[in-house]
Amino acid sequence: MLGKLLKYDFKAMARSLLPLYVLTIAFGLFNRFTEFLANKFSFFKVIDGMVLVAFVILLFGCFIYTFIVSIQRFYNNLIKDEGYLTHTLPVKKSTIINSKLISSMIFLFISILVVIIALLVRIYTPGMLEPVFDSFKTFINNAGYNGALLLLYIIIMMIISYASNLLMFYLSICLGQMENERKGLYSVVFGIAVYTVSQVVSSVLLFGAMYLNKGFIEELNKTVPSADALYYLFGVTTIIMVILPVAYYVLSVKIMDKKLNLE
Amino acid sequence: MSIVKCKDLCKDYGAKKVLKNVNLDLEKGRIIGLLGPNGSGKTTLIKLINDLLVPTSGEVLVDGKKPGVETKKIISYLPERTYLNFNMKVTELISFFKDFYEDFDDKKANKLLKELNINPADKLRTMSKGMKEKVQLVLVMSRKAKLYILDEPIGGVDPATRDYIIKTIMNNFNEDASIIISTHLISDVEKILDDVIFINDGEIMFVKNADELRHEKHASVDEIFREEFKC
Repeated sequence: MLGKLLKYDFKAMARSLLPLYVLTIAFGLFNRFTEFLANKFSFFKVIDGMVLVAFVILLFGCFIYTFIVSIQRFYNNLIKDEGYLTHTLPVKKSTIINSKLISSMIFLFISILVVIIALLVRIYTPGMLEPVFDSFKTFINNAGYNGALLLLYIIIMMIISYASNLLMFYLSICLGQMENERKGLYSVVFGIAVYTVSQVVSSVLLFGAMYLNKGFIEELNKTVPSADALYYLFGVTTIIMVILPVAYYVLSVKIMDKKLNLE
Repeated sequence: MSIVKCKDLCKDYGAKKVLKNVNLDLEKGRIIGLLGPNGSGKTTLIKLINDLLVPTSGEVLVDGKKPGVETKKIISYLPERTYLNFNMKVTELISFFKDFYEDFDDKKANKLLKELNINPADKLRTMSKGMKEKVQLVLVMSRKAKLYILDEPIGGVDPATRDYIIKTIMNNFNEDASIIISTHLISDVEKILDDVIFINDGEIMFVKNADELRHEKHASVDEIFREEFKC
C-alpha cells in the first residue's frame, strides 16, 4: 500500500512543483543569455541585473516552495475534504504518514538537484568543475577517514533535521485538527507550543548531559578540546536531534489513529 | 451477525452533545433510510461508522469489528461533500479506486460514466457541482461492498438524475449487501427503503420496517416525517 500511496502523493506534489523547477532552470538559461548580451551592449546591464535577482529568488524559492507544498499536501489530504477519502482507504495511519514524509524527502532531493542544474546552466564553462572536484579530493585526502566520516555525519544530520521540521509541522496539524473549529489557527498555536516544548526538552537533555559529565565543559573551552569531549558533544546532540522527530512521528500516528476529528 | 451495531454511543463536540446514547442493531441485506432534520446527528453517526470521528463513549461495530483497516475494506462511503482531488481526471480516479479497493469494478464504473455522459478524460475541476457528485457516486457504487453508506446522495442533482441515481443504487448492489442512506428528500427514496431510522436531536426515535410503519400510521414515510418534525 505504501507504494500506491507514494505514487499519488508524488503525482500530486509534482503537479505543484514541476512548473517552478522548470521555470528556475529556464531562468538560469535566460540569465546566461542576458549576461551575454550585457557583455556586448552596456544598456542590457540593467535588465541582466534584474534577471539575476529574479533567478536568485527562484533558487531560494525552490527550497521554500518545496517545503510549503509538502506541508500543504499533508494538510489538504488528511484534514480538509480530501481527508474523507484518505482516512477511509483501507490503509494504516502510519503508512499514510510514511508516504507523506518519504515523498516530501524525495522532493527535497529533487529541489537540490534542480538548484544545482540551474546553477550549472547559468555559469557552466568547460573545465570549470575540475578545480572544485580537485579541492574536494584534496579535502578528503587531508581529512582522512575521520574527516570523510564527519562530512557524512553532517549531511545525515542535515537530512534528519529537515525531516524533523516536516514532522514538527505534521504534529502541529494533527494537534490542531482535534479542535472543533478554527483548525488552521489552532495548528499554528500548537506549532508554537510544540516548538517551545522541543526547545525546553533539548535544553534539559543538554544540561543533563553536562551535569553527568562535568569535565566536559572545561574540556570544550580549551583551544584544542580532547577527542573524547568532542565525541561526547556529538553523541548528545545526535541523540537530541533523533529523539525529537521520533516523538513527533509517534504522536502524530497516535493522534490520527485514536483522535481523528473530521467535521 | 449484524452489519452495524452501536452500543451506548455518545459523541460530544465540546459542551454540545451531538449523539446521546445511541443503540442500534442493523441487519444485513437491508436498505435503511437514516432520516432526521438538519443537525439531528445523521452525519456524525455516519462518520463514527467510517472511523472519521472517535466516540466520546460507547462503541460502534461494523460486521462485528471496530472501525479500522478491515471495516474500510467492506464499506463504500459517499460523504456529503466532494472528497476528490479536483486536479485529477476521472480516469486517474478510477485507477486510484482500483489501486486501493480490491472490490472495485472499473468496467462497471466506465459503463455508468458512459450512461451519465461523463467523459472520463475530463478533469474534475472543469465539472459542475452536480457532475462531481455523479462521478463520486459512480466510484462508490462501482465497488462490490458489503455496506454502502450514502450521505445525502441526491442532494445536489436535478429530479431526473435523482431517479437515475436511485435506479443505479438499486441495480448495483447484491442481495446480501446493506445500504444506509441519509437524506432529507424522503419522497424520492421512500419506495426503495426496507427500514427507516428516525433520529432527532442526537437520539434514535425509532427503527421500523417501512411497510409496517406506513401500515400502522396510514401514511407515507414522507408524510410521517413531516408530521413528526413539524416546526
